[in-house]
Amino acid sequence: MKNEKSLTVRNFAFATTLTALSMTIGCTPTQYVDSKGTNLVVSMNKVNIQDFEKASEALVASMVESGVLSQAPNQPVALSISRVTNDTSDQFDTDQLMKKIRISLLQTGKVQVTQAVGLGGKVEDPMAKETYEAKRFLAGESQTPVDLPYFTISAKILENSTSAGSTKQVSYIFQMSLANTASGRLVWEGEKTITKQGEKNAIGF
Amino acid sequence: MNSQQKTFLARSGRSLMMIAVALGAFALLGGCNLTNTVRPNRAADGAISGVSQSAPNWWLDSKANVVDARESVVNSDTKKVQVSIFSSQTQQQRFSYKFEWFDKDGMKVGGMDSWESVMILPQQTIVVGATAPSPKVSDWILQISDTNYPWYSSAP
Repeated sequence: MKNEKSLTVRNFAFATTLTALSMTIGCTPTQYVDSKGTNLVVSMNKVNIQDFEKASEALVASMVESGVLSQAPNQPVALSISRVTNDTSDQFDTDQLMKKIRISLLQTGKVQVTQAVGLGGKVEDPMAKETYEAKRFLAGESQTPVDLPYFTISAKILENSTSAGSTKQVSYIFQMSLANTASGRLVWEGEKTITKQGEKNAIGF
Repeated sequence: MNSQQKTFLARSGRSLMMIAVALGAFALLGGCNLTNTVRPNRAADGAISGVSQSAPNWWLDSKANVVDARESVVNSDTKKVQVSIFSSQTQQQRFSYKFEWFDKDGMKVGGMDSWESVMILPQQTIVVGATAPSPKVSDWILQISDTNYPWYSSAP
């Protein structure tokens, strides 16, 4: 009887340990995770959302710290997005980067993105452009110059891959330039390199 | 108390000890997932007079201890923060950090708050920093978290 009790306690201890272990190293069910957290998937062959986040934050911080945005005569300054090139092997929409850049720049209060003009005559919001033109016509301002951007942003994303044995390394290089349309000169340039190294994709960083 | 009772008690004691050790080990692993928080102490004029650290994760604190903090203003009205972090460890370590921003009413201001992962060498002091996402920002906190352990999942 007493041996049975002892056995029961030992079984309980064993079961508790086993359950705790399985909870720790067991399969992870599908779940929502914090998009800005540290337990996101880190891929070796693609740009992850946290890479866009880090690149946009670093580039905007560099641009704000440079002070060029405050030097424009009219505040907030009108900005437009020029050519953005994805030169990596990962086919992603460059808006994943540029939208974050724009959001952060708008949040500074120093910049507004104009929809009066766009690269190749295309704007992101055609309705905004048409309404703007209609209002100008109704106000008899059709002959006055449109709200041209004082700054334009262009960007390029590059990739550099290498390996040693089974360890792979990939760098994504985010380059950005800010041009002053009054002078045609580049007044700020920034670069953020994100390097990942490993043998396969992983969770967490 | 006969010998069978003594044996039973001894075995029960060992089993309970095993449970305690298992629970203690998991409590310890769980503790490694705690985040340390650093807040600036401010003088009457708003200048930084030091930092306060809430460090429930002692291991993390030993490899990422904030020794001082500085502030400046960029772009004429935007706060920039730099913090010096020291590692007392004898091996290279990694950790993650992020700044969180607040306006004058203590409301959180979003943006520029993603986790950044950094490496720190033994006995090294590194400087990490960030620029506030908006001129509205008047205060900040720094959160420091441990980076992925090979034997412990950080999944929530």
